[in-house]
Amino acid sequence: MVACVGKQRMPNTQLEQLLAESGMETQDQHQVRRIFFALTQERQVELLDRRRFERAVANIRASRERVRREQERIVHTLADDLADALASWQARQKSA
Amino acid sequence: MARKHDSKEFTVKPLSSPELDAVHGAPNARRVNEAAGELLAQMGGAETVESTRKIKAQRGVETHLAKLAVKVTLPEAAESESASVADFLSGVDEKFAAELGNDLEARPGVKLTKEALAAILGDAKWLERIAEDCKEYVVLEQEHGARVVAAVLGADESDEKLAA
Repeated sequence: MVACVGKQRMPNTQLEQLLAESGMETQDQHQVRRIFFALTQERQVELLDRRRFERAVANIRASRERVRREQERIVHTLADDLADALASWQARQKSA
Repeated sequence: MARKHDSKEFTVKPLSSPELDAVHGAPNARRVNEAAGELLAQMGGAETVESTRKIKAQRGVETHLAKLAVKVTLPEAAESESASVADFLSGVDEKFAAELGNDLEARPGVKLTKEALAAILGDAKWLERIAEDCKEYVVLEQEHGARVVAAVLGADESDEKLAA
């Protein structure tokens, strides 16, 4: 199922198909791939069970969505405050 | 010997004997500082004792920010040209900087000139705020990474944890 030559690996067709269907972000797919190839053969077989994999994907996508919302909130709040500071600075420059 | 700071290089030449005499021969500390300032100005052109003090203050800010595990580069001399926030935040997480830049650039009333950004981002208070927010942003990503591992290793266990 898995052939490892140094750091080169033959892609696992079944895994790649599941990843392609998963709808996960590319970076999360990369991480799942890295973890997969670090697993024992027995654990790899377990993960490739479709229902098992889909459960993992659902959890990963839910986590990613929560993180994305929270990161957007952080950035947007900071941008709000920076925009206010920029506007105040520019107003001071005009009146100076 | 060449030193680098904020992408500006200046060469410090060894003092000649007459110069050393001028510095060490000064009768009091104030004269020594004045002599040192004059020598620095002669050796480095624009470098003066005042610039050295500013450089030390800037390094203090950078050290403090380094302790926050986030590096922020200070902006260069101000210019009245449009600028990208990411230009001033190199060293911060790229995705964070890009999102912040995109958010600001999308606001119609915000004029992102180099002069304005240099004025705001040259303030240590803002650098610290940005560093803290970036750290929070990055930690969220790291925690998500841990949840990915948990999901792959044991979906049954992680179901309960991720549902929380």
